[in-house]
Amino acid sequence: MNANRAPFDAARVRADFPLLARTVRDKPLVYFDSANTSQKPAVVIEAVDRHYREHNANVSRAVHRLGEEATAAYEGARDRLARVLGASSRDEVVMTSGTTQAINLVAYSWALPRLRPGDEILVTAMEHHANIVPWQLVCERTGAKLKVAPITPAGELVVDAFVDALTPSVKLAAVAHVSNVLGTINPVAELARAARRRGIPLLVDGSQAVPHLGVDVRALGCDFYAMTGHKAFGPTGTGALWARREILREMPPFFGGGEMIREVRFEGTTYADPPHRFEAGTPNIAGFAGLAAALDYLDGLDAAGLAAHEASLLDHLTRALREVPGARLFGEAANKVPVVSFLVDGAHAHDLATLLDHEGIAVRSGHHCAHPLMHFLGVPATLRASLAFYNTHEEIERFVAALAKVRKLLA
Amino acid sequence: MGSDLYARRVLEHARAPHHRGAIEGPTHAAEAADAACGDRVRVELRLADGRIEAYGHVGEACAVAVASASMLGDLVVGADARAIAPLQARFAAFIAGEGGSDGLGELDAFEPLRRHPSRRQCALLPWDALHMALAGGTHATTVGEHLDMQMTREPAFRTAAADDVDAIVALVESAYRGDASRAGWTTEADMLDGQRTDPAGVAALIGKPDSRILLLEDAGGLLACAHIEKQGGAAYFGMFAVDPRRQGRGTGRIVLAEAERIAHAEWGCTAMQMTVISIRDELIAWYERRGYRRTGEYLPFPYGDARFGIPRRDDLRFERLVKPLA
Repeated sequence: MNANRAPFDAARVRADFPLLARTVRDKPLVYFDSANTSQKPAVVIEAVDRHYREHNANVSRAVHRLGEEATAAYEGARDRLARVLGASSRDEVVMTSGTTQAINLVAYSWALPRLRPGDEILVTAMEHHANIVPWQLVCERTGAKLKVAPITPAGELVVDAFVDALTPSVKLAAVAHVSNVLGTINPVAELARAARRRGIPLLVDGSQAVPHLGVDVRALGCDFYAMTGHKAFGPTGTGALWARREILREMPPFFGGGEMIREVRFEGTTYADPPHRFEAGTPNIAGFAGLAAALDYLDGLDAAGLAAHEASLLDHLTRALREVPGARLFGEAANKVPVVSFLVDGAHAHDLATLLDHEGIAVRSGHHCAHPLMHFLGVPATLRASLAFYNTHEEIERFVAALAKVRKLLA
Repeated sequence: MGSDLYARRVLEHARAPHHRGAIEGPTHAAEAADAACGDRVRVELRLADGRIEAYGHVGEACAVAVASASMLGDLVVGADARAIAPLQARFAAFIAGEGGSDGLGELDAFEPLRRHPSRRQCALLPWDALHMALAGGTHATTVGEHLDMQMTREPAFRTAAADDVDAIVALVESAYRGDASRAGWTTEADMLDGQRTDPAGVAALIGKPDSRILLLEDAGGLLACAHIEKQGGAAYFGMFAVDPRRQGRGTGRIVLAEAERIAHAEWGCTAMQMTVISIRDELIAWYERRGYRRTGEYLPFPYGDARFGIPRRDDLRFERLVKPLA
């Protein structure tokens, strides 16, 4: 931990991200699509580059010098992940290609052998497809059912309904830490306490939380925590599953191959202990070298100053959008990250997104991999402006001015 | 503003679309939906003597899709329905930068889509609806039936008719023979060459009394088929195929259950039986999970009769499987 961090300086931090200096259609880029994937600081890009230039070898197999360096870089990322997530031990961190693989690992290795017809899995109405479809697939195979906890019109989970839904037939609950569409921060610690009292494991999808919040899995009290690296300023194809050691020990391998074995004979194979048991094949070594750099970079930032900057961006963006005639905001939870979904009357989300792109502004339009939530909101698609700490108040002004301009074109 | 896609002509059609709204007495209609953005365009047509006499479009969609639907109407009212498919191909090629705009009327305004590949589907959406509407017209006999057609619709069952023969043969062949079948788990490509069935065989089953070919269709077309035939107190189940690209989603179970329902509820049969190539363990296991049991009764494979395929091995035979229906 770095105790002597410099106070958060938005302009200096922004300069750490080379891509943010580029133009789009001759206009300075305004990147408001960080919930889709974040931009990367130079230290991450350089770490990936350096890995291939200087350290490239396979992990855990080569005894030569390069192999040792590559293994150190890869396992170093595990140490950083354990620290960032607040794990009791580095052995509780399984490195994956991202959140989707992490959740599928739990679905197939933990849930599939346990589920019986009539069992239930509880999710919420605001989940990303990655926290819905893997459960549907194991339900289809086992005769278990998916149960959905409702949300309020403001986009907050109905906590009482979630807790009431934790009936004895529920074998697992799965919830987003932060909604990718609404920006809502769910009260995970409270949900975990309720689930624990009933002996129901809780999985948390942390994809959108790690880029914004400090995460401490022990304080949250959950049983599984899935995350992705590319939304947290690291390379694509990196991520992790954290689970309690005793849970990981009970889980059989999901992928088979190299790296995950102790001894292979044709009569039968014995498997490595967790976490390597779940890491068959050659992993994304360079990516994890980059992720380690990203997590070190985050650790070097003044967390309180960063949070204050994000809160002020969210406040500014929300107020400015409310003043746009005909704008409808989706998700106004009391506790949220700077992610705002909205529509403008008389203008279609895709048209606005294309026209904003002509102004150099990148926002996402569509269903954001959350069909059930779109259905609940009663709209086919929304626009989403998702910000990170490298965004500025000036960019929000440019975005809102451009929105007013392009809206007139369509009206 | 530097927005070539939203040129004046496109915006005019989007703001005040031509042919907007339902039409009187439609003979054909279909809705196309874009799964990526949730947009929907429904096209209604009235055909007379093979010509499009009236055209209307409704739905919730972006400016590009609405303008395209509007211009499309200008282009096709009065046109021969058979001219639509080549026109659609020409439009798709034009916006992909692979062809000119001859005959496309005002749709040439979508030339900028060559530089916006992510938005091409928006302009094609009304074309898809038009295509679906016309396709429905060649198969269904009542307005009500094809008015239900939607690209996003749930799979639905119907009984095959004579003009379904070619589609059924193609489906069955794709599920069992050749490299296409390797996409699914029902492939027999390593056991048999040649054909699984042929048009004459399928047509005979459609025309036979106490025999029915059950079709399951969805927006992607024919999804699955199965033949059921009443043979005394039991029903026979056969010629079962699911599109190999869309297997593994529980479709087979739905078809088998519907076949059993018909056999029991409509025909009063007390058992369902079938014959399966005996070395197909994974297929037999699949039926066993659905309540079928092996009888140990074997029937010889028709070696030498090319109508059933050309065996690649000499040990093929059929085993009879049975399930009581209650």
